[in-house]
Amino acid sequence: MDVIALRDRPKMYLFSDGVAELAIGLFMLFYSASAWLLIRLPRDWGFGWGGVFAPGLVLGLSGFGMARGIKFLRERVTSPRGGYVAMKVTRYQRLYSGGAVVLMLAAYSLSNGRFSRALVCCAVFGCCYFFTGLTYRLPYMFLLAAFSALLGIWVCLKGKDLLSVMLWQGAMLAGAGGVKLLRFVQSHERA
Amino acid sequence: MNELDRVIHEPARLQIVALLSGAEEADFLFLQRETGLTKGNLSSHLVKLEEVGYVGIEKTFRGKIPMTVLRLTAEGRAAFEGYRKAMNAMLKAAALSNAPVAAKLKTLSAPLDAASG
Repeated sequence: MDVIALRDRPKMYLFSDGVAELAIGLFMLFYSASAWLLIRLPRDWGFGWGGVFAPGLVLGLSGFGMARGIKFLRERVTSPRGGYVAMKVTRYQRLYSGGAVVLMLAAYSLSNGRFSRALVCCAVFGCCYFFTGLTYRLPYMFLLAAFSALLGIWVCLKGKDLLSVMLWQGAMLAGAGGVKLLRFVQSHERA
Repeated sequence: MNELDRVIHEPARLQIVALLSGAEEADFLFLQRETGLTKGNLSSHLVKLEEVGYVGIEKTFRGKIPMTVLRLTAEGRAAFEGYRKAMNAMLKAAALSNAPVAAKLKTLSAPLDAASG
């Protein structure tokens, strides 16, 4: 019996069902698709002030939808099959998350200048996937990191914008989450 | 061996305590899936752990779905940490007193003893 492995098993709970990846991927897809559509709508459609509030509204709706979606899937689909775990958040994890957010915002600010935002986005996503894969020993995260790297190369070659990158990242993440969720449902019988 | 907590030392209860030590709380189904114990077996071990104050059991609802939520108490976490340290100390002492290991060390140190002798 590996007691250390047992102690670390609850950490894997959040990544076992693919729900988080699916929800975040769909959030990114919906938000970037909405933004892409809003940008391409004719100016004379009279959006006016609506155009000012629309991005915030879309972000809010996407976030709300994501939270509700996660709750629904966890309560109705995955928890009846795999159980429920609430993780304790340590001070170290809070510092780590806060530091990661600061670094991402700094990268975003810097990208206004020399490097394109799309490229920085690919780098940030790639690093997040890589370190998550390393920390929690998730091989599919390395595949996502490799995909981000390929996306970054594509951005360099074709000069793509941030929205295109967000669309592709969202699609890949939602796809990975969907496959994982399907496999979880097939391998875990309802209690 | 007298230093080991007999309540935690039992393999099934050790699994339960180890799993709960890595989380804030977990439900009965998660523990059952991870330990592979039957419902009755798991229940009896949880009752034992609750009796000694290591585990707190709460029957609640998540929406309309009933669930039994379990968490390790402060005493339980301290007991698990104490058990882990006691077991590590015992294993270290056993490794040092292990005859084959001692013999190997003796053969390795023989030239040094001869040189100093």
